[in-house]
Amino acid sequence: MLGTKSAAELCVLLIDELYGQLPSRVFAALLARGRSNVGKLVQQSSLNPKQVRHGLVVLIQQNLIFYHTDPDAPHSLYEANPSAAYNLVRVGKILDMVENQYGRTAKLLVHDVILLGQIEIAELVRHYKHEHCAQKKDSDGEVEAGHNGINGDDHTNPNHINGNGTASSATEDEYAEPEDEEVYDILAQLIASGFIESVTASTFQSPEDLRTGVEQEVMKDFPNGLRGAKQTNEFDTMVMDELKSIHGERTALKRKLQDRLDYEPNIKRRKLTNCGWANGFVATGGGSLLDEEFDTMIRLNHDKCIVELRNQKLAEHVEDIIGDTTAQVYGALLRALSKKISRCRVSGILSNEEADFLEPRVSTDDVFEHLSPSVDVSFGIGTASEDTIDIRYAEKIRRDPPQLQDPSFQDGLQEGDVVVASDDEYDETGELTNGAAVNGSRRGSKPGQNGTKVKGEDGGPLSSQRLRQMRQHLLILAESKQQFVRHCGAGQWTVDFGPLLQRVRFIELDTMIEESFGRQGLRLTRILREKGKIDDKTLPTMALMRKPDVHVKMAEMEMAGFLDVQEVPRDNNRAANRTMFFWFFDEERTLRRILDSTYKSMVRCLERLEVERRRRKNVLSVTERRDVQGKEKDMLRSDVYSEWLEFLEVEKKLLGQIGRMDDLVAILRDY
Amino acid sequence: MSGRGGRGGRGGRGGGRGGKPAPPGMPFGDDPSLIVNDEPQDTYPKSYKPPAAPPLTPLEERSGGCFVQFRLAYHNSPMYTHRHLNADALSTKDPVMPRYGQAQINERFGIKNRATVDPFLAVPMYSHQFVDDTRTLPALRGARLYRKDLFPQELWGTLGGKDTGGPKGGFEVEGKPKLGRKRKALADDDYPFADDDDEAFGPGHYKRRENETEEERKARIDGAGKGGENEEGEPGEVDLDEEEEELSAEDDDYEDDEDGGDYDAEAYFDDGEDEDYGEEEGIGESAMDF
Repeated sequence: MLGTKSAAELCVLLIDELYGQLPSRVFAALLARGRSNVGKLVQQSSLNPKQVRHGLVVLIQQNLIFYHTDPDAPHSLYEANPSAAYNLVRVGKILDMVENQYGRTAKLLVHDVILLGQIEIAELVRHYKHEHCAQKKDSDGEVEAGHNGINGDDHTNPNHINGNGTASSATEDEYAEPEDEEVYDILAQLIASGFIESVTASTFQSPEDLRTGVEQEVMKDFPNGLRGAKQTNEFDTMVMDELKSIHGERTALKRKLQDRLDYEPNIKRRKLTNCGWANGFVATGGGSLLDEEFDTMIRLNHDKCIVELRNQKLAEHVEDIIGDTTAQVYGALLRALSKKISRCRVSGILSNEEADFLEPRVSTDDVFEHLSPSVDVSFGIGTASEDTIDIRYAEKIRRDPPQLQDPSFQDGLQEGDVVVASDDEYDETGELTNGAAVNGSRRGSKPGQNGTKVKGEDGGPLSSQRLRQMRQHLLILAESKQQFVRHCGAGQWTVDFGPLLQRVRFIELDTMIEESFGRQGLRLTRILREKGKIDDKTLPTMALMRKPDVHVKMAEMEMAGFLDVQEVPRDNNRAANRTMFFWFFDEERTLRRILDSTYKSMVRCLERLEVERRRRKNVLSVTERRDVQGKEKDMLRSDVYSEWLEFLEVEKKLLGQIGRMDDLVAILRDY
Repeated sequence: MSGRGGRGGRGGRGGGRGGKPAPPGMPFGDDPSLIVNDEPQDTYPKSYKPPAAPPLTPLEERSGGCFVQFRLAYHNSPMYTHRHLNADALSTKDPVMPRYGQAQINERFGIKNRATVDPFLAVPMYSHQFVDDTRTLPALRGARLYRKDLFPQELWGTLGGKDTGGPKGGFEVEGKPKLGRKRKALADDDYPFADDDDEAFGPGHYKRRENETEEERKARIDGAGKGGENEEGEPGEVDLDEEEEELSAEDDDYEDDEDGGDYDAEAYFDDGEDEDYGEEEGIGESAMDF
């Protein structure tokens, strides 16, 4: 996945930026040498064995490498995990996203989990209380007494760090110290939703090692080797079963918590959603369940985080294309949907198992439940009289997923054309649009929500109107050209992530080509993408452009590596005028090139940051002092302070740029 | 006209028009009407104006802030190892000089040992207590946050902070061959880089004391009264160790000053009333003082 030099450099720089020099050197040596033992790493990095071992400990603790110990061999073998290292660039985004969804306590918990790499649950909570609760009192006391001893430990106070002190100080004040129980509950919530996963010994084996190990284990049942197709099949299923059980072991805790949280009475959830969806977690149950699991090791699950980041990105796209309110409805839908999704791309090993979840669906009610009550859904939809809408078309149900346009993006979706659903198949719910009372009673029939009928007089119509408007938003999404949502059954919605993200990828690609080569370049590449390989001579007529213009543009794009040309000689002496030239646009290769150059730009941003640091090292050496940290404004001379602010501005810009490029990488590679 | 002839004539025809027809490799090389400017590009064109990025959205700003916050938190944790390059790499203006080969890359990194100490800055100063010492090894000893069985066995000794160096030093030593281990560690000083990671060297141990709680501090002071400084909370054994060290001839390591000489440079500022130090003039000045 990450095979290029720039990617390797990026990983090393990221580790250097966050975890320090020693682990980054060891990681660089691992990347350069591949799988190796301590001795080889010593040779490669000219560190001493003790240092290498310390570096390895840090890397293992932070889940950045795999290792494999062969019982017969004296030394363990270590292997870099570059995608884990790449994920470090998303730390900020993940923390921010967790804060948005689960509140501040959850963010601090996740922060601690990333900080410590992997940790026991009980230890984590202890650490959490020690760090954040104590530290709060500490900093309060310091502010009041004006006392600043050397333990300027309040470095986690974000006020002066990111330079937007006004916004965060408000939340700091409001932030009440959570109770012990609450911390456990939030943690349970995080585990159940998959953000945090449990760690077992098998986590540290690379997927290949795991598979080989299992295969060797299973092979013992076949002492005479595999003979014939039957035995091979048997072997494969046994290996698969074994892998599944290992995977099940890893997710056992998650599933247990999920079950527990799902069976919570709905009433409680409803009550809580009313006080704000951000904290809309179920308040009991999880914590007590965690009591039995105090010594489970946990760590952050990046796969799940990427799913959530994808949701965020898609909602942003909807906001750009359709509108704000619709984007919020879409966000709610994705939140509901992503409960059933644990990773963006189905990995090879688990493909069979995850195939069941390939097409998760959510019901309208479910989406409604996830929608923040503060969203006014009446915005952003037009009104049309009943008879101008072709209800059969508007509510048409599309049962089968559309086919991907290009086989190179096929993520394992089954074959299936854009099935034109028979005309009589549509969702009747829509016909009841103006029968608010009818709608209300339909909702009332839902189990677990009894009493709606009685309250129907005052609460029913309003909420059913809201529901109806939200449905309109969903229909807009389903009808849009990008097909953000598919209406896959009566009251059922799903998202075809494969084709949808392919379209998003095309949008990104198009933007990039347009930025670099202008509208004409974009036109030419789109023609090529549509038609495949096109002869040099027919292209100008097709693009309605002058021949020299086309040629200049094409040459320009070829040099940049976006297009390529294939020569097909018409006769044996390969003369230029007797040769046909076919232009084509190789998407997969283009994407790989773009990815690589994006990694390179990210590397340069990080290097630039280093240059800036070196340029202002006088200022930074002062601000890094423990008595100055957090109190820069009071402690520093004004010119030094302003210079420091300038540096923060530069750093913010560079990090923001890295974040943007990471968005691009995520769209092209991960989502 | 053959293809060869067409290509041969390109130079002559192009000269008069200020441009050239396309080079022969290109598909439209046979098209004389096409003029391509093949002047070599400037290495860094002066007219190049990179497009300015749009300002950050609130979301990006927040996530950037979270990143910085996390980085700072990690950098203040004992697992962080500071960046230290050697003097040459530091003095160059450009930190990202091209590097060829692994040897050259490795050369950039600094080695921290008694030979590379800057004699002018190594003397403990008041302001050192505010500055993190350059940590070359993560402080694993105090951390209780890992679980051994998740690590390969050859790292278990390292985890406990008892790595003795050498190719087998990571294995955990069972029982009590403590003295032998200590000797071995000293003997390992022959290894060229073995001594660049003495943790208690320099102002580093300020840091360790800082994080201790009040009880720990009391215990330490009590312990110091009885029998000198110890980090591991095992007074008897460490005493033995340090006596051994005092006896050993090659031991001129001044970290052993810790167990109480007349002039205890490293503990000079640390024992006693650092909380009561006036912040009015002292800290204010030292912050300016660079």
